Amino acid sequence: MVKPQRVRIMQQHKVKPLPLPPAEEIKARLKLHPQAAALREGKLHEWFTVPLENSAWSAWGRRAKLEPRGMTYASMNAVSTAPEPPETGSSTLVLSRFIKVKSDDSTQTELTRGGAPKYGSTRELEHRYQVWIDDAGNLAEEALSRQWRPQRSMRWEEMEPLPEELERATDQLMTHLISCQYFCSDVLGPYIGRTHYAFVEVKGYLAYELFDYNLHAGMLRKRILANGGGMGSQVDGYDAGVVEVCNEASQGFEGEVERDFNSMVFAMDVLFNGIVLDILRLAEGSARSRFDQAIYRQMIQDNARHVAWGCKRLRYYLDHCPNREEVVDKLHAAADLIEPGQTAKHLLNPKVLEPLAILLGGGTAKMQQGYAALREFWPQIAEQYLARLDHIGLPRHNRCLIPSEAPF
Amino acid sequence: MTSTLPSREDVADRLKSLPQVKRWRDGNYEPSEWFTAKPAEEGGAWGSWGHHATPNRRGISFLDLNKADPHEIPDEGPGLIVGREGGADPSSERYEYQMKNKYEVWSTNLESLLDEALSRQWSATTDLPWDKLEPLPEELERALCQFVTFLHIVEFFPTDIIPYWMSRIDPAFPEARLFLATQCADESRHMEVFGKRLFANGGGPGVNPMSGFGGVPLELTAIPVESKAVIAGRGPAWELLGYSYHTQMLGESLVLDFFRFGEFLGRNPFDKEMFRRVLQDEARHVSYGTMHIRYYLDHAPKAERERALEMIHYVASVAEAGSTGFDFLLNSNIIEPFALMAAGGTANLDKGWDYTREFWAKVVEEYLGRCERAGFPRWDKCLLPREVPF
Repeated sequence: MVKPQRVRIMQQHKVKPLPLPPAEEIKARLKLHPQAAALREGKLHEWFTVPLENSAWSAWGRRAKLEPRGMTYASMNAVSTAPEPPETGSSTLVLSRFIKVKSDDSTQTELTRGGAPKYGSTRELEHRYQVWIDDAGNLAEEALSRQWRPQRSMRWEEMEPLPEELERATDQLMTHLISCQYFCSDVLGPYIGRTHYAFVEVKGYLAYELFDYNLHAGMLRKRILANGGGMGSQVDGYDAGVVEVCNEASQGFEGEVERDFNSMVFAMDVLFNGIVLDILRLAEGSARSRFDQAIYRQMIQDNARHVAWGCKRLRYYLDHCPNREEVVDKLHAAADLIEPGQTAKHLLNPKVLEPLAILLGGGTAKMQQGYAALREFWPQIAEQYLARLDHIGLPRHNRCLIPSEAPF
Repeated sequence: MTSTLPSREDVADRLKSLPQVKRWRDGNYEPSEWFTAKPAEEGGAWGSWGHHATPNRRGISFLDLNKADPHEIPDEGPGLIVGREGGADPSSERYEYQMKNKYEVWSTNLESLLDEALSRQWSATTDLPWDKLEPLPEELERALCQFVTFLHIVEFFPTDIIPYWMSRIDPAFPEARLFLATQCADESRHMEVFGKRLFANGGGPGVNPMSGFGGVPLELTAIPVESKAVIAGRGPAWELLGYSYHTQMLGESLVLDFFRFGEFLGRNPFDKEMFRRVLQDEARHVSYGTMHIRYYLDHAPKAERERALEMIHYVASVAEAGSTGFDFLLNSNIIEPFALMAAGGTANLDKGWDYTREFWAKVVEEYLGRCERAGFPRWDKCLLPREVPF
């Protein structure tokens, strides 16, 4: 039976043409366009005639200082009149906080009259406590400057043919990781368009995170299809708990309802990506060629940034949201659902754990050693997760349902 | 989210009772079915086997990868959550992705555009010669900053919407998902670089460019308000094809022409390089939009092709005569600084206007050429006048 998409997303609709006047009539009216008449005067209008001081030109004469590493958001914000985002974004849909809007601006008036609906637009996440983090500009810049450029940085000549069972284990693990990347991309992506332009640094960061997931998926695909093996087998249920929390948070991005961006951040960036990060560390440690190791290492770097973003975001959220106790309860409830689901269907999934055991041991004949390595590593999974939650301000030492010891 | 909280002991017991965990606890480490499954083409749960691709000096491109793959890209995705050629157990669920047909997402140049996009990512902070930015005469800095204010605002718009379509595409077409992701990263970088340019040379943000569209009295409105509303309501609920035309092919192609101009008229090495970099990115988006429409019209079933063609012509008429086309090219907060930059100063403004008139004609000509290439010629239908109306 075919089911609707696993990650819920609003339906797209066909555009239905409506009747239009004859082309000649439209062209005749265009000739009367008042703006054309204004331009025919050959003069320069408001943008050129308003004074440069105390007007729409908000930063004339201030020059951002170039830093040794380049032109940064920090340099820009040091001279901008809006270095810090407001507590609540303005009622415009598209203007970044750096653009000054006059109170009698006709577009602004129109927008506040109802052209800038809250739901379905960039105004859904319009409060600073909902999306901001300290030092957001730096994170966005790091995301871009450390962006992986596979064609430049990967040494494909170091890719080595592997014995069949190791190639198969590698391909199975990578196939699974591809699904994880798609999942994160699907869950995160639509929130970018629901985030207010007052927080451009965050919007930018999220776009780069989205790119990372897809870049990883593409790189893994190339590796799988280049070295004698092929795509492995789908891991069912690996998103257990996470997909339910994310779907409830987004409501499929439909309807005039509040969406819970931060539950998604917790479920996907902190918890799910935290687990993926652990898998990647194991994968790097078990990789059978320097090339494979380099892939995982780069993914770890990017993935760690995504987890760090999630932690910073939630910490800021808990420190600044008006209803901390309610939020804490909600996040704990999400964790109660996700932790056992992820342990049972992701961490203990044979299609995930067995390839790792094969690679860690060095072959099927030495899988026992692989399991021993996994047992040794396992306590770090819960430890690191709990340490992240401590940092966020959501301690779960007495409540965490991810076992501190390997169950096998 | 309601949940009945199990105790930690309960959870631990449940985990230990999972069949595979019991097996491992009993010391049976034999891999399960995935390890011995046959490839899908032989009826098994493994995806595929025996793939080889030879890297060249620049690694392995998607173009090379797909050429080396003996399997054809399917016309329809299987609804799995794993990438193309991934396998699945017979009991695995299939999902109805909203965009499961190749013709809905593909273009003949998709792989090469993707390869280019991946190799040409750059950083606004570090990859531009910010130290080569030179002070400009006041009126030129003002013109450039007003122009860049507009670009700073509009460049991110696609990233607000594109991720919805990415999520709707069957993972059997990872190239389309990944290409759209590169566009999101590109647009984000453009917003960033134009924002930084605003503050880097003493100008700062100009007036709200959106206020320059001017109010058109209702009696002079060329397009009925109902149709204007259709276009104004474009967004994630639209089909990708309509968006590809409206934004990637029309909107971005107009901006692309502006970038070409910006590079040509950049007054210092920095501005030239900035516009050159952005232009390269933007050209990819326009190219995908154009060739995606072409692929759709060439490969969709007949009835869908006819519907799609009618829809595109409709959207084109409304957009050309509305805010994306005619209104946009007449926006005083965009076109006037453009003319001033072309003039090199107010003393030569007439020359700037002459240049702008030539620019207009060229923009319309190039747009019509793209419509032709996309498979819906509009030489006799276009509502954008070929001659400038001022």
